[in-house]
Amino acid sequence: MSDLIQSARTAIDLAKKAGAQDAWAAVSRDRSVSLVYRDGKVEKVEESTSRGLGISLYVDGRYSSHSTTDLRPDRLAGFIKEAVALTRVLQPDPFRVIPDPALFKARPTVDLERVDPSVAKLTREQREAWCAEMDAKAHSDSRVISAESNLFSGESQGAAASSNGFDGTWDGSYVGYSCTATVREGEDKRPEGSAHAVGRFLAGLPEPAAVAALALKRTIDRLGSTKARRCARRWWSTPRPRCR
Amino acid sequence: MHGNVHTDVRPMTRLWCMLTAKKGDVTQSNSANLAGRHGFDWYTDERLEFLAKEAVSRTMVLFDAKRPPAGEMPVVLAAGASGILLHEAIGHGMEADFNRKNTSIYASMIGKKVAPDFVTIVDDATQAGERGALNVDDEGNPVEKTVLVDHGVMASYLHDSISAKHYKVKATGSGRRESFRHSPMPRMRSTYMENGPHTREEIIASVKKGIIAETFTNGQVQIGAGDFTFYIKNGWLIEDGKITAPIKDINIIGNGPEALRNVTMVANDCKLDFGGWTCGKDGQSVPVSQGLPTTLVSKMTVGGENV
Repeated sequence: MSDLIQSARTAIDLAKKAGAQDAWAAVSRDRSVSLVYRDGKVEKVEESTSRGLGISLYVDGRYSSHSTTDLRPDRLAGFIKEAVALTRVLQPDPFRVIPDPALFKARPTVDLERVDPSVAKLTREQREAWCAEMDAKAHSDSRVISAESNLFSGESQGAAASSNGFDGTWDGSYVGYSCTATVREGEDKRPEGSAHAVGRFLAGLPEPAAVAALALKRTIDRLGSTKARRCARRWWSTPRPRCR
Repeated sequence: MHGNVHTDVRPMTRLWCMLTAKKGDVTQSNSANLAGRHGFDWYTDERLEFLAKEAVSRTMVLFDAKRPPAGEMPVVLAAGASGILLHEAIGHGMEADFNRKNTSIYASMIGKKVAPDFVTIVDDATQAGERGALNVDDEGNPVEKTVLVDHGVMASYLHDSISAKHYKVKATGSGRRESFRHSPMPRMRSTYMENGPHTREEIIASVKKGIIAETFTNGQVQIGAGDFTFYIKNGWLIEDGKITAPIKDINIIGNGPEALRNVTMVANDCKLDFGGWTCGKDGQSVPVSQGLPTTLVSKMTVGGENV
């Protein structure tokens, strides 16, 4: 986390050096993992990690906001210098000012419990087992021709700093699963239904099979659906009786 | 992949013109944009003037526009921007992953008749400057102009490497991804219908009561069921073969394969929409192009006013 807050502070210094009167920077690091399971097999495994910086600039009564994923020091310096120059091209916006420090001076420090450590420790085997559970439930109806289950999760960390004294960090996790079932209807229709559950903590999520059961129900409910009946048609140049 | 290394430069710019106009107590807003794989020098004075005039025209016509009656009626899809309907309602169903998974309405339709003889639909990555143009796809495969529907017959899906292997065909250079965070999948590039045998004038003259759908703001489709909804911002009412009034703010509702079967006339004025479109699929966004010649669909549900 210390590297993130340091990056945010560096960005603020660079902005001030480039001529900004005030700046507010936020740096984040995110990891996301997704396992997709279809019809009894793993279809796709995806994992990515990314970092990014967003910076709001207050330059000569003008305001702009920029973002980048290139945090190499030499690149960041050039990026912020250019961002400050671009801000000077904008119309003045006298109502945009950096938040008054009084607003964040005594901010609460209560732990909002945004992190479930067990999310980062989820194994591939566990992810696959839950997806297989959803897949089995979705295929429990013989009319289902295909079902896709997905277990996705992620963790993020972030830090923000401002030129007028704000320093803060945050972290968070999320985990969820989704299921989509497809049935065949007649010659050429393939209606589908889906359901998902997502939260910051594993505990508290419904059972994977319950999510798949809901997806299945929504899919089956779509069978035989038709467009609602409409009222008699008239042209808009004619009188308009109310529908009943 | 396969040890190949490719480098590419993919410029992307867009210029929006958004307007708000007031006439008496009525306020109207609309917009137009120019987009493509161009540098800023592409935005010449002539193009800027065209864009401004287009945005003004689209906005000012709204003061006189009304909502048409609701109901099933012939719909003329104007050349250009109506390509959104082709993209959403038909193109997605032709992406091979949906067919490999058996969830597309076009699964098992290769070689079968899906449209009248004069309908040919292509997805083309080779048009310079278009948002959907690619030198190489995101798997390193060469790109091409892929014929999806050849004179009414379903000819090919859009393939990435996985689906090409599954179907034992060559990849069509359609493996695209939003960024390094994502894995490639079959995506459209520049999708359009080729010219047909009719003229725009013939098509309008053939409609007794119907509408022309001219500019669209959004739409969505159920790939499996084929059902779609689109929102038309600008259009025209046709009565007795003549354009009689501007219309605005209506939904059209239909089914992709059914609409394709119900295409009864296609004009010889195909053009790609000059505005920029971004396609979303499975959480990934990629730039695309799309177009259409003036096309008559014999019946479609128009969600205008209940009268």
